[in-house]
Amino acid sequence: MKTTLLLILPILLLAGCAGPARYVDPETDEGPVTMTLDYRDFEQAAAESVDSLLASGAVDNPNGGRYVLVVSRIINDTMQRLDTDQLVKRIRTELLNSGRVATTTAVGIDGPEDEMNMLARTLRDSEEFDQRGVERKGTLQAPDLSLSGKILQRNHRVGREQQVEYYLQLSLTDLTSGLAIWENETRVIKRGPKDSVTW
Amino acid sequence: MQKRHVFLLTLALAVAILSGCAAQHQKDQMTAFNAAWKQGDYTAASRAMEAPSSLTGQDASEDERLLELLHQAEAHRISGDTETAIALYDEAEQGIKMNDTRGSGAKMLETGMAVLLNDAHRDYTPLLSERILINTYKGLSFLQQGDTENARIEFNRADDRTRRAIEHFSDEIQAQRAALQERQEGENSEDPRKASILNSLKSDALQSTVENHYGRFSEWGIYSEFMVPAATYLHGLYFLASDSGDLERALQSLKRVAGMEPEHPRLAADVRLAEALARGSVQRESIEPLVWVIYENGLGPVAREVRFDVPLLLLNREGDDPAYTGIALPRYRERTAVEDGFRIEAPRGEIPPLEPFSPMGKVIRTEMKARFPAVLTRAITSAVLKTTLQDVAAEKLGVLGRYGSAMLSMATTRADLRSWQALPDHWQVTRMPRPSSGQLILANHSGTLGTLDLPDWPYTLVYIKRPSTLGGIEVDLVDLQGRIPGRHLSFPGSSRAATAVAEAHAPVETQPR
Repeated sequence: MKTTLLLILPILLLAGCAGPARYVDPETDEGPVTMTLDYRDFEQAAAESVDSLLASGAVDNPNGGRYVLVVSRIINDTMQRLDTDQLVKRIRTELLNSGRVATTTAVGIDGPEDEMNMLARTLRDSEEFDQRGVERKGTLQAPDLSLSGKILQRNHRVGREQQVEYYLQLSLTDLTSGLAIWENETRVIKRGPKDSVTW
Repeated sequence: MQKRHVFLLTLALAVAILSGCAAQHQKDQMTAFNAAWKQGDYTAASRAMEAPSSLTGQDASEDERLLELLHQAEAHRISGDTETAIALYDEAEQGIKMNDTRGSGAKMLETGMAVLLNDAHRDYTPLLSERILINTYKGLSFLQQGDTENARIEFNRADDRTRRAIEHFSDEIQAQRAALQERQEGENSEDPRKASILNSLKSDALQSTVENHYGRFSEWGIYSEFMVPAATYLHGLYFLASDSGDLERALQSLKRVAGMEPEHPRLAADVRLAEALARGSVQRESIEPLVWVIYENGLGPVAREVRFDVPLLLLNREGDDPAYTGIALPRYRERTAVEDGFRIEAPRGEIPPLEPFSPMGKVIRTEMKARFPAVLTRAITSAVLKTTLQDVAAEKLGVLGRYGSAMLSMATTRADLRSWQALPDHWQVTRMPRPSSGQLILANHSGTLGTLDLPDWPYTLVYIKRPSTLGGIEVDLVDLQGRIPGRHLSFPGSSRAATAVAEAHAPVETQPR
């Protein structure tokens, strides 16, 4: 009996090490920090960028109304397969919520984000559709501003650890003049074991 | 007591036999791979490297089948199946990560097994040069798919692995200095086994025996700084072609490679181009479309076993009873390059000939020189322990114990000969403006092997891999800017075959996926 218990005990202890599935509150999540970029880093970078942009006044339209923003290329220059859209989406959402900017989905660097913009216009000659509801020519809004950027990663060794630095660099270009009217860099710096690579 | 010792000896012999069976399986697997690889039968080459299932019937974990994954991935890449190649290379990277982040307990256990048996009992740990090439091949595969974003990530990873490798070598040099210091203090160690190991390592007799069998390190032709020039070069080319403000990085990589191969005219020309673009003295728009041809030639080095007796300085050993005191070390031997006058021609006008660079033998020697002290220390430690065990066995079991344990020592003394054998002997490179005809001709001593129709891209890479003359010539046409998916073409390896095949078929073309 004792032997059986001695055999089972370590198994039970090991099983106890893995926690059950549970919800995590993003606001208070103090889970382990990874060397990769995680959702907390995305949230922090997005929040800092939006705060900087709104505080700069670059998106305040002196004529009233909202500027139309297009998201240009965001280059992922890291060592990780990131979904840059995920990061940009948070920025777009917060800018939209600020009431000062609207984002166009009708044009984009790799084609329109929402192809329905053009597809809906192909209904113009269709007898099957009530033409009063079909979009007329010349209604799509051209963008005033373009948001572009780069996410950089630089790794260094710091003593017996490695330091990984992520930089989110964003530029806002006035498409009328071609001038960058706002730029910002948000840094996320992490330090951890150097046993393995950071991806 | 006697029965217990006999049982232990029998158990040890069983372990030795099982370990021998595993080594034989691995040898057979590599023989089958190499036979298919040389013939250009990459499907068979990949099949030969299918990893055996674990005892539970599940797939073994990535770290346990790392060697198989590397060979299979490259077999798929060379035959144009980039999607599978990327998936397999991803698994291999996962395996490396599992290896690197293993807990200290597991690492100690593995080192213990290596000392008691041999290095081949450790999970396969790829050379640093192999790790760098994983990401380089993945980068090429993504470019082939027209996926520049993921290609950039892989070239960044290859660059980071190079940085880590340089740091690793710096650590190794420091560790060697510390070990030297420890050896000098070895005589004072109170632990007789430790003193035996340290004294043996520092003895002139051992150093001279190792040099006799292994060669003098000072005569090894190595690079002054660790890198895989072909990987750093491709990193440089990718960023040279990129129009996202990466010219400084391109220049840095191209300069480093040219610095390692100072007499290479093509590499120097690329540095001049990158400098002109970075300075702004040449505008990107004014450059005519450029074509680089990179040719991966032949079969890379493989490890062979060098086995010899070493003079051990054993303390507390009574008498001069015979004992097996051999060690087995891996020694890389170069295989063959394809020497059939392979060249690139244009229908009209001359193009600069392919110039060799980045010999894998030199890359591996550079790495092995740094790794060797650790390998030798493990081998000597193992030899000292095995000699001690032989003495104990002789004391307890008499002649049977003496000879049984000596046979066991001999059977378990093996070098770790595993390596990624899908790598080339060396690379060659040339660059030219896109010929006006839009065509390049592949030829060798016996005539034309095939004709390439070049796409009209600003920066085209023609990436050729040819392990031997028996197999075909595998060609990838790659848009270095990664905007357009590339094409994969296969040509027969000899002109006679080319004529025969050309009459029947157009070149085999794999549609981009």
